[in-house]
Amino acid sequence: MNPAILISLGILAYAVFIVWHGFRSFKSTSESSEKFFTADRGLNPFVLLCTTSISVFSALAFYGAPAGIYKDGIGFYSNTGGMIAGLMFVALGYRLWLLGKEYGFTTPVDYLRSRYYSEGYGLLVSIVLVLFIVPYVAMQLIAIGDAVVVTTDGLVPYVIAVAVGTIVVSLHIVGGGMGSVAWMDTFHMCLGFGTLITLIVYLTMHYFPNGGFAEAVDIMRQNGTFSILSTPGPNGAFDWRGIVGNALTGAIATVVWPHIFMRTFVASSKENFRQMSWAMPISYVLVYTPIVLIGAIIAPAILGPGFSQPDNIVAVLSTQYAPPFIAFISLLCLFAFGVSTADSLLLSASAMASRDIYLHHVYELKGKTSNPKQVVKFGRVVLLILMVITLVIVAIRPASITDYAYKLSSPFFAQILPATMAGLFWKKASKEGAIAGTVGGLIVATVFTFFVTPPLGFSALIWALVANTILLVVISLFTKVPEDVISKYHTRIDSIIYSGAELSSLTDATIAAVNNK
Amino acid sequence: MKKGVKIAFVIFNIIYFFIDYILVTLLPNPILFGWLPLQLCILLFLPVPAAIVWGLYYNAFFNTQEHVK
Repeated sequence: MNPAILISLGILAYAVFIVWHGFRSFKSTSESSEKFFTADRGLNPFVLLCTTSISVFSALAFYGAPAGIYKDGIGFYSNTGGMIAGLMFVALGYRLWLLGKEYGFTTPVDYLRSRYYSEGYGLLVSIVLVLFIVPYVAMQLIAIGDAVVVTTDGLVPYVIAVAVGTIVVSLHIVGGGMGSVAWMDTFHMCLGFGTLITLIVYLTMHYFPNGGFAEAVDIMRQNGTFSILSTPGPNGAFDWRGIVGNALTGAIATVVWPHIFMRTFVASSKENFRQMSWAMPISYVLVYTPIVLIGAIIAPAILGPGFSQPDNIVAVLSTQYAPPFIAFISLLCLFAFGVSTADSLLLSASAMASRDIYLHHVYELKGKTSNPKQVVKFGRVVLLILMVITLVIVAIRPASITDYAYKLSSPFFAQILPATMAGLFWKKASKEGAIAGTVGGLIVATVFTFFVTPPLGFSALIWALVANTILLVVISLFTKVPEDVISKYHTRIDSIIYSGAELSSLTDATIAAVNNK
Repeated sequence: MKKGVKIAFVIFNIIYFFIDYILVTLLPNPILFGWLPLQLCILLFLPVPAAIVWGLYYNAFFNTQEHVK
C-alpha cells in the first residue's frame, strides 16, 4: 500500500483515539465546573509535570528550535533561559496554589481581579489573554497542517488537515476538560520524547555509522557549518547580549502564560511543587537535548551549509532523508507538541471567556447565581465558538492574525508577570499601579514590535516588562492598598507558610533549651 | 529555614544564571568526547546540577510546610 495512505490512516486512528479519550469522561465532567476546569485540583506530581512541560513545548519548538540553531548557532538554545521557568513555577506557584485553595481561584483573571480589587482590570486582562490565545493556537494547527501535507505527499489537503486538527483538539477538551487534557498531555509527553529519540537514533545510525556524532562533527568541520557549534554563531547573533535577550524573552514569562498559570491551581498537594522544583528542569533537558542535537549537529552534517528552507529542516529530514515510518513518527512528535499546547490554551481561553467574562459579569455582579452544570455547559459552548473562529483563521490564514497578532501573543501574555509577582510578594502593589503597568507594557510591546526597533538589542517583550514594572512600582508607592486586601493576600498567606515553620523552630529551640539545662 | 541557607540559594542562582547567560559566550570552546563543544555542553547540561540544588533547597523548604495539607 502507498505509504501516504498508511500515514493518513495512522493520523485518522490517532484523531479518533484523542476524541474518544475526551468523551470518556463527558458525563462526570458535566456535573461540576471545578472538575471541568481544574480536574478537582487533584493532579498527581507526574501528571502535573508532564502536562506543564509539554504545554510549554509547542509545535514551534519542535520545528522552530532546530531551525533557529541551524541558522544562528547553539546560542539560540538559550531561549529556555537555563530552565528558569522551573524555578519560577515553584517560587510563584506554591503561593498561587495556596490562594487557589483558600479562595477558589481557577484562572489568572480570578487572582488578578481579586488581588487588585478591580473589575475593570480583570476584564482588561481576560479580554487581552483570550484574544491573543486564538492566534497562538492557530499557529500550532497551521504547523500541523503544513507538516501533514508534506508527510502525506499532498494526499491529505491542507484545509482537511487543519480542519481535522482543530475539530479533534476542540472536541477532546469539550469532552473531558482539564482532567482529560492533563492525561492526554502525559501521553503526549511520553510520545514526544519517544519519537524524538527514535528520530535521532535512526538518523545518526543511518547517516553516521562510523562514529555517530563524532563523525557528524568531522563532516561539519569540512562542509563549512562548524561555526554553528559555538557562540556567537554563523551570523554573530548570540554574543552575551544576544543570549541574555533571548533567554529572558523566551523563558522569563513562561510561568504566567494563561495555560501554565492555571496549572498552579490544579496540583493535588504541596508535594507536587516539591517534585516540580527538580523534575521540571530535568524534563526540559530530556526533551530539548534531542531537539538541539538535530539542529546543531545532525541537520548541518546531512544538509550542509546554506540549505534553502532552514525553517523546514525537521520536515525535510524526516520525509526526504528517512523512510515513511520515521516520517510518521516525526509527524506524531509534532502532533504531541502542537496538540498539547493548543488544547491547554483553548481550555484556558474557555475558562476565562465563560467564567471571568460572561458568568462573572452577567450573573455574579448582578447578584444572580449560576449552577455548576450551567457553567460547564457555557464553557463548552465557548469552546465550540473558539473552534469555529480558529477553524476560519487556520483555513484562510489572514496575515493580520498569523503575522501581526501572533507576534504580540507572547509579549502580551508576559504583561501580567509584574502584577502577578508584586501581588504575591509586595503589600504595596496597588490597583492603580497594576493597571498603569499592564496598560503601559501593552503599549510599549506594540510600539517596539511594529513601529520602533527596540534599543540595545533587547526584545519588545523585555522593554515592555521594564516599563510595566517601573510604572507599577512608582504608582503603587503613591497610592494605597485597602487593609482587607493586605490581610487576605499577605498576612493570611504568610501566616499559612511561616506559622508552621515558626512553631517548629520554637518547639525545637524549647526542646534544645530544656535538654541543655 | 535559616537565613544563611536562603542567602546561599540566592547567591547560587546568581552565579548559575551568570554562567548560563553571560560567561558561556566568553569561555573557550574545545570539543569534548570528539563531538560535544564545551559551550553546548554547558547550555545543555548545566541545568542538571542546578535542578539538583533547586530540588534540595525546596525539599528542605517543603519539610517546613508539614502543617499545609
